Amino acid sequence: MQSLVSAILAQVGGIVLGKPQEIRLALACLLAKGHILIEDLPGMGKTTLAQVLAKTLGLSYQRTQFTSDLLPADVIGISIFNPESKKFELHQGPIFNQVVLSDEINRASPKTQSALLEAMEEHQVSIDGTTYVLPQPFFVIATQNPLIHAGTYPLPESQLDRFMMRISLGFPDIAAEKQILMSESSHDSYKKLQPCVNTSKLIAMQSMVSQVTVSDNIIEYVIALNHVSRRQGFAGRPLSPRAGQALVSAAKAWAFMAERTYVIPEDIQTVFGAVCQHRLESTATRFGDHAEKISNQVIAQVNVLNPFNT
Amino acid sequence: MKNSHDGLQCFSLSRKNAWGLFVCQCLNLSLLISELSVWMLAIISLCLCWRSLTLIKPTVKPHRYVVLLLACSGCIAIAVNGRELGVLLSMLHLLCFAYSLKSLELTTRKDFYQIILLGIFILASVLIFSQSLFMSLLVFGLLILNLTVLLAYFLPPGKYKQPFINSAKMVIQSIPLAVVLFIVFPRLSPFWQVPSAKSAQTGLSESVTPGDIAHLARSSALAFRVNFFTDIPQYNQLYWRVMVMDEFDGRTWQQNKNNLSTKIGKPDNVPVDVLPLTGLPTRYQVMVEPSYQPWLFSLAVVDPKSLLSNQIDIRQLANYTIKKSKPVSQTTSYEITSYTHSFLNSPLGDSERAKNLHIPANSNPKLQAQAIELNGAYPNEIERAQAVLDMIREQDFYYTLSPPLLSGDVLDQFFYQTKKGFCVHYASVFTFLMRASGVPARLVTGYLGGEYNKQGGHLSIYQYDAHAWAEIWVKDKGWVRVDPTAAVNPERVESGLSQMLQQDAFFNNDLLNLHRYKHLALINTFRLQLDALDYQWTRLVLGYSSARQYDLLTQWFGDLRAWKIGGAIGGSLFLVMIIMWLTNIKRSKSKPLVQWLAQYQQILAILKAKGLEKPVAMPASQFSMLVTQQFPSLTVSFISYTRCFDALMYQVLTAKQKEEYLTDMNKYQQQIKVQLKKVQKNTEK
Repeated sequence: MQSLVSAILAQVGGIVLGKPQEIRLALACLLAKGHILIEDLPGMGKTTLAQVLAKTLGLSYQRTQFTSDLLPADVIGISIFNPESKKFELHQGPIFNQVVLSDEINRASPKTQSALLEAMEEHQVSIDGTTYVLPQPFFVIATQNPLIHAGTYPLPESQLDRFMMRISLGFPDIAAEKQILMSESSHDSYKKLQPCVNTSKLIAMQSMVSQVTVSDNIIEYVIALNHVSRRQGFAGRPLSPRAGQALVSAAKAWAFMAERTYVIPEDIQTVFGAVCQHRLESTATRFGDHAEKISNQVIAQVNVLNPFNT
Repeated sequence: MKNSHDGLQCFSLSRKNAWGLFVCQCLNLSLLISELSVWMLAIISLCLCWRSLTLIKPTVKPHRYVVLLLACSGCIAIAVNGRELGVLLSMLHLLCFAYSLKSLELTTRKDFYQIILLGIFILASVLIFSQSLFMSLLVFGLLILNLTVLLAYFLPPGKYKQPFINSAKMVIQSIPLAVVLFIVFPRLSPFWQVPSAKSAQTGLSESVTPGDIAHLARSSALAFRVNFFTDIPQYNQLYWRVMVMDEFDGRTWQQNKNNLSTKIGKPDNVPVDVLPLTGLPTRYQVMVEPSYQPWLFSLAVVDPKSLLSNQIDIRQLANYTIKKSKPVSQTTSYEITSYTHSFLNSPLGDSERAKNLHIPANSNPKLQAQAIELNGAYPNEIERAQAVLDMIREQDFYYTLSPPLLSGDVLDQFFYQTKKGFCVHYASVFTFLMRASGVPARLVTGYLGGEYNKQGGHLSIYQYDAHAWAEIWVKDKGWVRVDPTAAVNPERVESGLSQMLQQDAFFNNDLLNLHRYKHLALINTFRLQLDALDYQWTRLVLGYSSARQYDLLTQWFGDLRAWKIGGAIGGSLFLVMIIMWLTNIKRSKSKPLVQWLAQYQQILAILKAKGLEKPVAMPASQFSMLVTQQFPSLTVSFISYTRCFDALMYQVLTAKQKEEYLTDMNKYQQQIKVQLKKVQKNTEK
């Protein structure tokens, strides 16, 4: 299994250059059955990362470009009357794929956003009173532009909360950028990619992740982190128990990828930023690197060896 | 509404805690059920039901004005009934009413505190009405429960074990203080008078009709206890006199009202000190359970001088019964001396003689005829009495607790038709016959015998020991006790009723009543132990009067000076605080570090001394990288060491694996220590 993990990382890393940590985080999120939100400026490789991940994992995927006039039916599908059979037939939307790439999710209207987000939470959609179960595994990989950009509808906190992780890629370093500019157009390169795993192997990996053990000490550490964010006078929003759950799940996936059967505090700290930054920042503080500062503050305030005695 | 957005200011009680508070309220109030009036119980249960509804479904919360209306109507009801209830009970009603109503407006933290405080106040007021050992323990337990609910509010929801332990500890820690204050603090008599009208009187009633005592005989409630300082008289001599009935209307026996106010020594009677008391004195202490009646218990004949040494005001009546000036509303004790072999020989004046010979002219004609016949046959009073006893013994009389109902000339009917009766029947018939045949006679009610408890060394007399017998006036001897029940049923007199009727459905159908199981040795021993415990409680705690306190304190301190008492209180307080402080120190030390954590911190301390400190937020795994950068020689050992430590801290291990990791960790620990010393030497060079 570990060879599979390194094969996936190598393949994705061959296309998305110079971002190994972000790729690892994205893979950890998918192994922990979480949805992922990639936020960055246009042209930083968000969509490329999403597409390469989907392709490498060998899952059926469909990309939807979110625009302000996109309707919920365009995402989940619609019943259309067939004059020949004289019946309504469901035309499945892109949501019926294992991986749903929602590009620029914050350009769509809140109505469409919430249609997608409902599917993320329930793993099922209802169309005309019939409930359809979505395929397994089911991931939403969404990308969004920073909120200061024109024509965006910010995702409300409650919906941000449904993404296990939010990562941003950031500018590549000089070497990586040089390589990007020198290589042929990336459009062609990832189309030729072969999947490294199939669905059953991916599900097997996910179940191994869920078997990673979490000791009481780790749970106490997570609770202590949550408590720091709930103190009076704390700059960000308090972390919910769901944030704690996401933190533990992501750390389990990270431990699995590091070939360990148990979680150590370092796993928690590594995934903490990606899991918690979008939950910590409040609407008023969404600009700049404020969220990162806050999340580092939280970590710095908890004693690892004795979480409740700082 | 402003507060509801501010998570820190808003008061919220977790669901479990809210139910806990509700249960506490119900339990606290349930202890007072017997003291509250029916209408108040109805209002309280309405409030509590409503409260439980709001707990199930928060939307059914009553409107403010409904609560206000309820509060006003409740207060008016209390005010209207105030005169009847008396001050104490009115206040109690108000307290309980406020307590239950307050739960309907539990919206702020202040309300919560108020409810808890009121609850504790209610628990304290329970002790006004009952101070038995069982009730005290119950109140004690409920106090812990109330405090648990209070403490649980400050902890994350769902945790009940810790607050329970804490509150139990606090309450237990307060015991030494309570004991000190109990012993030293001046004992004030209560400012309140427990109204006797409200609480049902127990024990013997002031008038007796044949068939009356049977219901008492089915009650196993404690009447009183006796602690003998001298030898205990024989069982069949333990006639505890309570009331003397000398008026008879053909059906019911009553006390003569004039007799009640007459003290021995007043005109028409011989002065007290002339009464010759013969034989050996029997000295004993009697502890009376609350009966809400003024009558006390004594063996004949009580030495009037021994009454004077008691705290409570006891009077002796002309018929040698003793009486308290006020009804017994709390457990009361007194010490008296009796001369059991003396005669009750107050001389019989003419009016007295007439009173004790009086029978209604037309009542029970058959018995009257029989009496005239007896008068002719036996001129001597003693012989005549013996003849009546023989009649009862020889004829077909039955002793039963469930005699047939009688009407009309009840005594005739009993004596000639049904022939089944209880002690009152026999005593009534006997007294009637004696009066009709010209011998002054009267009916005495009281208790016979008692149960000796070996553990406590005391005698317990229960309601089922209630008895009635007769006294006849014999010249030169005075009043002589005659127990006609002995004629029909000697066992009753020799060994007690409960022994005799064990097989019957004797006590009320109460399966939990331990008296039912007297024949089971184990349960009986348990019952006697309980009785002995309760006896000690009554004697030491409830009987701790201001006189006893004075004796005890003078015994300890010599003369009583204010500074000595103050010093004793202060010293004890200081001692208690020291004990509490010590137990707290123990607790803070009681959670030791896990072995590997302690070891790891030892290494951290060494590294710190070397100038490398681990930031508290840095995980061990990252720190090992830092260490290897600074001390490359440690690389292998420190990384392995950290891996062992991480595994011990964060991996789920079997005992064997744990052992292995620990030995590995120890091994690396030694290596690191050695290597660090080398590092030091190198830097020194």
